[in-house]
Formats: sequence, C-alpha cells, structure tokens
Amino acid sequence: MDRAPPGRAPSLIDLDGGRFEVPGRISVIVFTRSDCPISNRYAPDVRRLYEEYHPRGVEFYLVYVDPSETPDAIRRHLREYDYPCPGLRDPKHELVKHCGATATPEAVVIGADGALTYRGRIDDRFADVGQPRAVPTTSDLAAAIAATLAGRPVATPRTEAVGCLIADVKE
Amino acid sequence: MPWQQRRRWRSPGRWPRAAALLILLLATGGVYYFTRSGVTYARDVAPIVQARCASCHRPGDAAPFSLLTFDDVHKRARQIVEVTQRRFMPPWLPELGHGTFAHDRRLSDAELATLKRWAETGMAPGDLSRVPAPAAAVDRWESDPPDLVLETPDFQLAAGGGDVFRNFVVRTGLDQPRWVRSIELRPTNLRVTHHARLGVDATNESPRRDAEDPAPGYDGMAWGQDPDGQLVIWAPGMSPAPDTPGVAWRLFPHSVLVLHAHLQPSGKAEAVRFRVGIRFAQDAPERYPAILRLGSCDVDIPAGAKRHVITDSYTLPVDVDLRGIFPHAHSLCQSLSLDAELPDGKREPLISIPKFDENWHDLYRYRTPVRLPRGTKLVSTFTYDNSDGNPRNRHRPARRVAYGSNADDEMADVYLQVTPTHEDQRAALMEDYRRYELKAQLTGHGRTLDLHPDNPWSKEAVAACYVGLGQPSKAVAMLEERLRSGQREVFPVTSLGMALLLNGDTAGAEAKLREAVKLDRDYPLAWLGLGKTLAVRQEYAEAESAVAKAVELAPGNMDARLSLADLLLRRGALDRARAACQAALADAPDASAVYLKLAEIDGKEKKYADALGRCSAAQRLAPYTHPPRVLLALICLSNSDVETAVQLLREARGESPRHPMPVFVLGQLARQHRRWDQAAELLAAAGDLPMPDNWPASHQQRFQTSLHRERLLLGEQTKNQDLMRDALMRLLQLDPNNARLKQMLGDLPAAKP
Repeated sequence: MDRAPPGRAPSLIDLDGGRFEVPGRISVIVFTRSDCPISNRYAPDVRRLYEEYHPRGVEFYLVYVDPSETPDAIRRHLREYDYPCPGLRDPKHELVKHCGATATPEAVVIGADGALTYRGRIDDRFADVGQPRAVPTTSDLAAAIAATLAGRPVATPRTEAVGCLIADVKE
Repeated sequence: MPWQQRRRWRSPGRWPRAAALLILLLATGGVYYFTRSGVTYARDVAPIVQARCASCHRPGDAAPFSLLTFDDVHKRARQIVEVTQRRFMPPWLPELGHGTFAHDRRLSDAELATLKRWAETGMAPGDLSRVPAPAAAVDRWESDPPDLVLETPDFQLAAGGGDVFRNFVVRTGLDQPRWVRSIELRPTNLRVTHHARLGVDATNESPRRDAEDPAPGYDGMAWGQDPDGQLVIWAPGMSPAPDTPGVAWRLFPHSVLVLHAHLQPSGKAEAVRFRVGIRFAQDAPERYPAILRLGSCDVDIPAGAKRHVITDSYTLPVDVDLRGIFPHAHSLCQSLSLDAELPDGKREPLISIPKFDENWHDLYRYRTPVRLPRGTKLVSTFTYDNSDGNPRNRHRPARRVAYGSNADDEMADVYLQVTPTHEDQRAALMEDYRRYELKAQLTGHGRTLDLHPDNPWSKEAVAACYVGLGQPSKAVAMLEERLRSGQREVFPVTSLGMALLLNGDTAGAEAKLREAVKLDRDYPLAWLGLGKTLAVRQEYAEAESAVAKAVELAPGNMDARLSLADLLLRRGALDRARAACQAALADAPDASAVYLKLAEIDGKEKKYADALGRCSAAQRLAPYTHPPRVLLALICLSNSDVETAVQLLREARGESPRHPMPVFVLGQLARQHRRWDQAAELLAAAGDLPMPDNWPASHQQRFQTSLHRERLLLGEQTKNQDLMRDALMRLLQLDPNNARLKQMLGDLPAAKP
C-alpha cells in the first residue's frame, strides 16, 4: 500500500473567495466538475452517504477542479443536484496533486489526523467511460468511510476512478 | 488565449524553438502559433471535431457537453484522445468492409493521429479566425420544418433509481388519412433520454393503459406497432432520418402515436417531454418499404457462458432491395453479423459489429440499396458473454438468461428495411416472412416460458403464435392453462374465445366472449370476437350490434369495419353496408378488401359495371388477387348468375390466357353442369398453366387444393380411377397427414401396369 502523503492538506478556496482549511475531523472530499456526466450521475449516491455519515461526524466537501467554473455556476450546480454539502474550489489543483486524484468523480477520505485513508472511485458502477454496469458490485467509498470511522485500516485503500480526466482542466 | 501562450512559453526546454518560432511568426505576419508538430486546432482539429463530434456535442443536443469552440475542445483534449483511440467515440460500431453505409462517422487513422499529436504537442490554437462558425443547432429539426408538431405531456423522472421504460400516447387530431414522409422525435431532456421509439396503435389499447396510470404515460414494453415499413427511433448520435423521395407511410385518423422512451435518471429530478415533428407527403408513394425482423428467438444462455453463439437464417422468397439495417441485442451481446449467401454461391457481408454496445443503436442505411435476389440466404450470428467477467452483466452472480424484451433478457434481432424489387410480390414476401417470424416468436416465448413457467404474458404470446400459425387447438390448450393459473383478464379471455371460434367450437367461443365483454365493456376486440362468433351462429342482429360496438370503440380497426359491412350485406341492408364501406374508405382509401366488399354489394343489385370497377380497384391495390373479371364472376356465382359469370370468365381468359384462374373456374362450372369432356380438358389446361409468381404460398396451396379436389370429383363422377388416383396423390402431397385421403387412395384398385 502506498503511503498517505504526510502533512496537512493544502488549503482550498471557498465560494466567497476565502481560504478554506480541511478541518481536523474525518472528511470525505469528492472531486467533481459540473459538466461531467459521470460525476452528476453520482449525486444521489453522495447525498445518501452524507445522510448516513454526516450525523456521525463525517464532513463532506465537493471540490470543483475546473478553474473556469465560477462560484455562481457552482452554487447553481449544488442547488440543481440537491447536494447537501459545501462546494469548494481547487483551481491550481493543489489538493488534486496532494491526493493524487486523476478523474472526476474521485473521492478521498482523510482521517482526523490528516492522513489519507482512501482514494478512488465511489463504487464500480462504471467499468469504463460509457460502460455503466446495471448495478454496482462494490461500495468502495462507503466501506472506506466506515473503516476510518471505526479506526480500522481500509481494506482497499486505492481504487481507480472512472470519469472525466482532471488533467484536461489545468489552469 | 493569453493563458494558453503563457503556458507554452513557460516550458523551459523549448526556448530555442520559441525563438525560432518568434522569427517565423514575424516572417509570416504572426497569425500562427506553431508547435513542434505544426498541428493546430484551427487548421487540423476543428474540421475533424466539427464534422464528427459537433452534431451531438452541442448545446441542447444528445452529448453531455459541447465541443464547439477551441476552449471546449482544449478542456477535454486528453479525454478526447483516450476515447477516440479506443474508438469509443465517435460511436460507430460497424466494421469497415462489411456494408457501405451513409453517415459513416468512423475516424480515419490519420484523423486519430492528428488529434493525438495535437494533444501531445501543446494544443496550439492556430488562427482561430479561420475556424468556420460551428453548426448552430440545438432545438432545431434535422431538415425542413415539420407540417405538424405534437408533444407529450411533461413526465417527472426521479433523481435516482433504475432505468424507466415509459410509453406516452400522442393523439394526432387528423380527420383524414395522410401519407407521412418523415417523422422526427426530439426529446426536450437529453440528459435522461437513452432512446425513444415511435409506434402506431389502432387498437385503443395504449390510451386505455394510459388512462389507468395517473401520471402521464404508462410503464412497460408494449407500445403499439412500428409504422408500416419504418423504424422511427431517436437515439443519441443516430444518423439523421432520411427523407427518401417516393417512400411514405399511411397514418390513419383514428390511430394514436405511442412514444416509447427508455429514460435514465441523471442524479437530479428531471422533467422530460418529447416533441414529434411530422412531414406529410402530398401524394401516395411510388413504393414503400417493409420491415423484416430476422434472427433467432431461441435465446437461452447458460450462466457463466463466456462465448455463447446464436445463429439463424432466412431465405428470401422474392427479390428485394435492402435499404437499411438495425441490429438489436442487450447488454450481454459482444458481437454480431449478418451475411448474405447469394444463390450463385457468393457470400456478401451485410454488416459486422465486432464490439457491440447496446448504448449505440442505429438504423444503418446503405449508401445504395443492396439487391438481394430470391433464394438469398441471410445468416445472422450473435455472440454473448454471460460470465461474471462481463461488467455489463446485470446479474451477480451470472444466471441463465433467455429471450425477452426486458433489459434483463436477451435478444438477437436484425431488422431489415427492404423494398420488394417487384412491388406485386410484396404479399408473397410478407406471407412467407410472417410464418418465419411466428415460428421464431413461438420458439422464443417458449424459452421464456420454460424459464418462467408461471409467466402469464408468455403463455398469451405463445397462444397468439399458435393462432397465427393455424394451430388453434394448441392455442386453446395454452390459454386454458393461462386462465386456470392466473387472473381472469379481458385479453386472455378474448383470445381464448377467438381460438375456440377458429377451432370450430362456436358455443364455447360465444360463452368466453360474452364473459370477456362483461369483464370489460370497453374492450373492442372482445366485441368484435363476439360479433364474428354470433355471425357464424347466424344470429345476425345481435352480431351486428356487437360489431358496431367494436367499430365505435376502435374506429381504426379495419377488420371491425369490414365485418360490420359484411353483416349488413348478409342482412340485406345494402345501403347501410355501402355506407359502412365508404366510412372505412374515408380512413383507409387503399384497403383492397373494402373495394371487394363494395363490389359484392353492387353485385347483389346486379350493378355489374360498378362492381367491375370496384374489382379493378381491389386488384390494383392487391396485385396478387385474381383478375377483376374473375373476381366479379365469383360474385355472380354467389348470386347464382351463372350466365354472366361464364361470359366474364371467357372474357378474362381472352384477356389473360396464361392465368390459370379463369380456366379453372370454367372447368369447375363445366363439371357442375355435367359437361365431362369439357371439364376434363379445362381442368387439365388449368393445371398446366404456371401459377403467377406474385401469389403468396398460401394462395398457391389453396389453388392447388381446389384444382385437385375438382379433378377428384370429376374422376368420381366419370368413374375415371386413373384421374382419381392422380388427384388423390397430388392432394396427399399437399396434405400428407390427411387420413381420409389415404383411405380413399387405399380403397382404389391398384393402377394397371
């Protein structure tokens, strides 16, 4: 298993332009962009995970990786897809690089100590771009959150995310 | 793009090149931003993207994002390279060299290489002012504005959950029949629309189901029938609908359109609605296509099978021109092909899809129609992966999958859009094809029933196949079983009544059909069945009111209209019978059978000139029917006017001396009037004449049976045992299991050597 990067996660930008530090609590970050259909199809799944784990003290953040997406467009997107969690921006891909994310949607779980316990897909609904399964056969992100909450090591700490390539929206 | 420039200059290894480039820019007036490769968006990439991608990747169209501008493309460059290299995009499944199709979207190797080099060498914009304006688009019809635009109501699709199959009823408001030249479907919400297909329903069944469901439309896979000879489909990236001159189909005023939509939740609750744009043709078409569904329904794939192959074949009974092809299978299908084995031994590949993907269905249209001569054997081959290793397998663990139209089932269909090369052979083609199709369906529904023995719909479908194949006793048994184990619904009870009627049990049929109209007083087919049954039982008055009720409930049902006219004719209500026919013709001006019915009515009043005109019209519309004078002669005979009949038959024989029908009927009349020599001569002559090649197989069979029965009777009456023996042997060839014929042949003394 590759080591979680040491040190605190780089800060993000909130929708009012301020700096945002990932708090020292168990946090789930989902990298996304509003024009990625695969990300969008996961909105209800993210909401379900939020409803299950936020009451148990897990923070959820959507991190928009496309530098050209304006705070207004992001607010509209959050509203349209009924996301319950805050949206943040990572226009310089500092957090993207810190976590090693490559595609949207890709999720990371950060422990209370700031260590990365999981990075990868939400589940395996998409075997590949344009190849959705009828039903997902794994629930990787949920399993990772549950393990982190319980203080156990995550059984599969790295999976490959299928979606829109983040490298395409570099500043 | 300032940031674009900045990024390039920041690359330290390129300084010397940058300097060279600067000199070049100065020298050329500075309009190009060259990269190492010299590939630019403006000159090299934009033409490819605009031609191959932008017809879907534009705002409001099928693709989830646009690829219209430099920024759009730049922002997806790596992803574009990845998906084009894998040939996932643009979606184009047919293999090169297996059929030549219009609208081929395949990227050439050179185009693929250009995209890759551009993405890998800095993504230079080039002179963006030289890029042609992207195709406008969006909410626009493919070609000229439609003559009639109809809409479904808004349907609210939930944010999540599984796929939804929804059927929306669309009323046309037409007050007269029209020829349709083309139809376009336009979903308002492309994010959630997987595909849509348009059917036509004249039975009133879909409005009934729509009314039962409080939300707009109703769920399921039953949405009427494809319009005559057409597949009207919207799917993302599908080739534009063609507007072939001289080809059109008839839309009747009492039919409704049923839009069948496969919807996929997008992540948020969404409203979706469909627009249907219809363009009418002014004139009747010169020709119209037919749809043949080929491929085995004998689909039964064992759990875990990695490579399960299903093949099938159909031999064409007449020459056809193949215009389009629409292969269809579900998620387990890996590859498919259709080949033509021509009568001269050559093999012509018609289509091959080496990597099938159910998300990209298309009606592939041949650039020029492919002529397939009579005797051509069409061979389809499908392969399936029903193992756990197939990510698209809907079942974990894998389980046995059989034939069916639900997403969980599998299919192996190839729809062919053909026109008979000789229009008068259409009936021969369709009859032959129909038997093939019914046998295939019987096998397929039998498989489904095997897997789900309690499935009531499979039992009903199996019974319908038996009826179509002329095996009503098997249909009766299946429907009785269906009704023993399931709910007593109006459809199976009606079907059982009709099967009993066909099986000769008129009392049983009457009882079932009376039960059916009690179960649902608004079900037109139950009333029609009851009317037909009562007519056979010679209870004409009640029969008439039952059939009139069917016509009232389903005015588009031509069978009901004709039955009503027939009953009125039998009851001697000639004016009302004529009015019923005229009403039917107002809706369906080209219904051959209605003209024949009018001829019968005229014949009753001895208006032979009028009747002959009607017979000519009937024969023109259905060229395989008998010559007009023969048709009229048969009407005269049913009115016991032998003299006129004989005169007409002689005229008919003079007009078409090679047609066996006038000769045969004259021979029959001669026998009935005990002119033995003349009868023998005429019947022999009728047997020597070739049967017209536009006669469907059932016509040929019926004619042969009538001819040899006549010869048998003549043999009996003239004590000519050789003639009897020959006629019996011919009849046994046609009906090998007929015990009575065998008995008669056995009773004859052996032939003299």
